[in-house]
Amino acid sequence: IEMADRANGNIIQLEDGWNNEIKKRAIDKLEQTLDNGFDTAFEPKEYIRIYTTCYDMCTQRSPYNWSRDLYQRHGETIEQYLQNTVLPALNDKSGQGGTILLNELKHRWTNHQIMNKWLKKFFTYLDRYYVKHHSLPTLEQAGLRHFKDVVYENVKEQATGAIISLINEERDGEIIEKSLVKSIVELYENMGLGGASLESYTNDLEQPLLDATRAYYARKREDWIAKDSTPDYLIKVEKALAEEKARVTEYLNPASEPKIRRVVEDEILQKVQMNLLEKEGSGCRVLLANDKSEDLQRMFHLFSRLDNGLQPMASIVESFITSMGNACVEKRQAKLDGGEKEKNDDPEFVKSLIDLHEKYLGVIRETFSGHHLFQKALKNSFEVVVNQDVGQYSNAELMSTFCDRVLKSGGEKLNDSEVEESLDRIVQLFSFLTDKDLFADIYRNQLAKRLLNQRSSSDDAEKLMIAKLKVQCGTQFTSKMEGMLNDLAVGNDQKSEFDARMEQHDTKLSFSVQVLTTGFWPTYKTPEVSLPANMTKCLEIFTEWHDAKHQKRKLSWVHSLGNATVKSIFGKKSYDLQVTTLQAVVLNTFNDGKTFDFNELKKILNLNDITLKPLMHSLSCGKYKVITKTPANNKINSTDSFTANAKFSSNMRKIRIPMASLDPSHNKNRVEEDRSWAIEAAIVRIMKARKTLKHQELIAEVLSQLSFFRPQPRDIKKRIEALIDRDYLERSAENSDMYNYLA
Amino acid sequence: GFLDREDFKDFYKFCFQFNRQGTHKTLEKDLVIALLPICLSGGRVPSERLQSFCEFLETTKDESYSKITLDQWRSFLDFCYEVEDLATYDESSSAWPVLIDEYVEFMEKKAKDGKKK
Repeated sequence: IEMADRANGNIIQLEDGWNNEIKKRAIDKLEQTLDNGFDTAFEPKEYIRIYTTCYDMCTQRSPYNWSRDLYQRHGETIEQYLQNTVLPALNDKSGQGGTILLNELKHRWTNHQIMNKWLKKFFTYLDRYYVKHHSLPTLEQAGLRHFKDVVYENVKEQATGAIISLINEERDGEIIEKSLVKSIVELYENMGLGGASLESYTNDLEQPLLDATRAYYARKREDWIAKDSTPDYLIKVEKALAEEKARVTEYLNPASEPKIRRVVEDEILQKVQMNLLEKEGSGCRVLLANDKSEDLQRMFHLFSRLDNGLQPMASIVESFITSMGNACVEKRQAKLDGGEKEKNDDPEFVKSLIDLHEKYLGVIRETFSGHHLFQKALKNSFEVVVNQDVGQYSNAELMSTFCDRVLKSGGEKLNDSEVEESLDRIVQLFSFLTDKDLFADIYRNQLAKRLLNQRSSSDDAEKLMIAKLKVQCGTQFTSKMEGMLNDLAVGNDQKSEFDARMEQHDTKLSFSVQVLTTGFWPTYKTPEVSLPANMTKCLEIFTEWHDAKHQKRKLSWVHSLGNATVKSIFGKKSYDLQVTTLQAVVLNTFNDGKTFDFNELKKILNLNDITLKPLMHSLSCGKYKVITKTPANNKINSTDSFTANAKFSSNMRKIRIPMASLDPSHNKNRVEEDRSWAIEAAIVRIMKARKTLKHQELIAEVLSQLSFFRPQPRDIKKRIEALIDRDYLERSAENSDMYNYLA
Repeated sequence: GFLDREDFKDFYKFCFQFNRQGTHKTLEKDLVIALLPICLSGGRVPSERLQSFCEFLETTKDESYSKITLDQWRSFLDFCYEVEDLATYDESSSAWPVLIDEYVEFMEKKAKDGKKK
């Protein structure tokens, strides 16, 4: 009937509409159902009636347009309800412990959301026009605002306190009502201005929580650090961080995650970082010494969370590896001090360094995730260790000899992949060497020996090693080595051609020649020994054949390097003696039972003492005395006389008679000369480009350009002075600290 | 003296060049030891500096200093002008010839030995 009244166009008066319709049918009923705990309070029919009343009251023509009043009363209704019903209820519960208050707050907040929802539905028309037209808060926003001002602001401190207590209880291992906390957190999230901002949450809950978290973990830290070993402490840290992360996911706002994390990391890691690393009996060094990879890995992951958290750990690792390396060096020193004979070969020492490097390469890969700071630590420590020479032979030489063992036949017994692995590892060690040029010089000498004496176990292995060195140091570093291999390859190719030529002559000797390109190979002594006629003939045949092919080349014979097989008959037995060319020439001299003294031999053979003495020693004082020396002792004197040993005999048919090398293992002077030259070339190159440069900058540039050795500043200065003397540079007249390039 | 510093440098350089023999670019050390006091007479250079430097040249066993280059000769004068107090000398940043570095080292050792006595 009342609806029909309206349809007839009756104006609704404000108080009438408000009191009899809206308040009675909507608001009072709503408040009642809230108190009773129900939600679905309005059936569609009821709802439409109330809605329509509001609608009409807002669309009536002025002065009967009650929009403003309704908007106002909407707010007042909420406010009053909150003031008169809700707030007292909360205050009632406030002295009874956190959970009870929170539960009540949750209940009241839930109710408010319901109330807000229904009131918004009833007064929706206001939102569409009145609110927009006057730029007012929407009904929902207004409702929230009232809750905030009346309830939230009065209760927030206690609520925050209650939540923090619960969280601390949970941290201590108690079980708490997570869903309750989550609901209250949602309240805080909604109290931000405009509903979208997290300001209330951040200021009223998050900040106090961060402070409480800091205090909590500061206490825990003090407790743990006093009692726990580093690994145990770190396990607790890991656990705490995981728990805090889970907590945020379960009932806090995601924005808190990084903040809480940083507070916890700061309190339990950052503040005791050095303490943990250096703890006696369980710190980083101890863990390394005992290979505690799990603990170290945990430590690595935890410290990588901190700003610059890994450098202190990396420094300890560096210092530890250095001390391990130094121990290897000291062991070698002790061996030498103990009277062990000095040799250019110490495979035990080299292998110990290789093993150490391999071990920590693996540790860095697996325990430290290959992190660059730790790779640098390993590099730094090995650069110190590898360059510590002990005794007469440098580590450069020891390493080269190690390669020689791997590459020569009759050295280490290794299969192909073992060879590759060994070479790979020695090259890694080599990369730390400062005196790379010294290594190269010795390596080339040893390579030459292997190649010329056919003692190289595998051509492929030689090439492999050179390739690895090339990758490390560039083409220039290995060009001579490659040249050496190439000479041999060319020789092989042309062998059959020369063999055919030899067959055309009847020399009764089987003869082959290896041509070496000067510059690639080390320099050797070239004793101009007087050869027997048949050997000289062979040389002539070769020279003729060679010169026809290469008119521009000049041959220079190096008899000190050649090898020969001498078929000899002692008594009734014949033997094949494997000797050097020079030894063969000597043996030939003693045919037909001739006797000569030392000085006679010198003249006949055209050799000096330095060459002839070791030569005669090898044939008359060694294991196979094919020549008899008178007097019989172990030293060659110029008064000795020699003759073939008619009584010589041996069980073996093929006998190798070794001889001491006539050439040194490498030329120290040449390395020095090459260095002087390299420094000067670098200075000229730099000054040519820069025209004028300060002294210290020039020194720095030179050092950065020299990759194969590290000269002292004084050595560089001496080269600068030499270049000044030769008018490549001058000192600046204005500034005694500067140099000018002289074009 | 009657020449100012810069002009004197030229004269000093000339002293070296004048005394060279034939095509040689250097002077014998003994000649240098005799020549320096003559060229630098009259307080051009503190007499203590001059004396101690000659003493250093005489006592050094380094073969490479048996001949002195023009650069070394000229640097000595510049060094005397620029570095009055040897305590301020810093080899690590110095562009002075190694001869000068070794002279400073010689003086430092002398001072130490003097203290010991």
